[in-house]
Amino acid sequence: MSELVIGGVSLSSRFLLGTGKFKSKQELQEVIQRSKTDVVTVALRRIDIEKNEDNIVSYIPEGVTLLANTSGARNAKEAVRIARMSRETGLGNWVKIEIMTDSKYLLPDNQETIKATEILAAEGFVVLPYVSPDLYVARDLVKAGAAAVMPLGSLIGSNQGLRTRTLIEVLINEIHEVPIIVDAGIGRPSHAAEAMEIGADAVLVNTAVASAEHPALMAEAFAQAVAAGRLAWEAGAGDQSAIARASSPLTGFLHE
Amino acid sequence: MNISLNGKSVDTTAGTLAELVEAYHLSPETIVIEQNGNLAKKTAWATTPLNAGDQIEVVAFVGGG
Repeated sequence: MSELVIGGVSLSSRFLLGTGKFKSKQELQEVIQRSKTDVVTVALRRIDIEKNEDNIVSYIPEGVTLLANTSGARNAKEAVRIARMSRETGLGNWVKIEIMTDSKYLLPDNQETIKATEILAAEGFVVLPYVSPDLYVARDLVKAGAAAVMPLGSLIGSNQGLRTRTLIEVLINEIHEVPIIVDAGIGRPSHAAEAMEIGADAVLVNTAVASAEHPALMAEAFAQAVAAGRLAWEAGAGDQSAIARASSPLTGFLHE
Repeated sequence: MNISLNGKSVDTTAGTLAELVEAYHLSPETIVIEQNGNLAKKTAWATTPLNAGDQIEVVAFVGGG
């Protein structure tokens, strides 16, 4: 299978994992191992000064790239502030730009995301913007220096699958400079396989794994689905037909 | 002296950011500090004075999607 390169880093897995909503850090650790992911997202938050909790980072294996999201940012300025703080941890310069003000649908603000991408890419960040799928926005993001474009499949955490499939296909067909990573809404391994079969370069999944009864098993199921979908894309699927096309020879029947 | 630490008003005898980190037994490797809205470079914590009334934010990575 061909490899995926983002920000100069070659990734062997096309399955990016979000680390939110797991029951414990131990569970997360097992999930990461079973997922065989190369990239996990994390968020930046105020720590509880009174409680000396161990940090999530110590549960993430060496060699796994941290993709810090800017969740909580309501505009480009706040996203830039969060990204700069994230980099100051000394744990890398990958940032997932996530800017939103609507709390019901959590839809990303594409315009502010373009602004933040431009600023952070110029500062040397590897910028992966999370956006609603739109061709003109994607082109602007490429111009702004994004390392990938991450269109949403459906609403964050909704597990609804590829509701925006047609628009994502437009991005896959027209944006060749950077990888297209389907982020948000992928709820089942079959959704992930579908995204890969239509030519997405990778998928990012969190809720579907974290909300499963057995998250580590689900992580492995997603890993296999992503790999299978990619392989199918590279294999090139045959065309569809409205009528039956016999698989067995239509000559030499016994009654002939 | 009194400072604001992650939104809470606290009294501290720490004279620098490094001393504040030590006083609260925070792990320097995983945290980031903002002082009055400005990012405080880790390499300068030992020489960055803490002043009465400072707004200090201490953040770290948590799980997120």
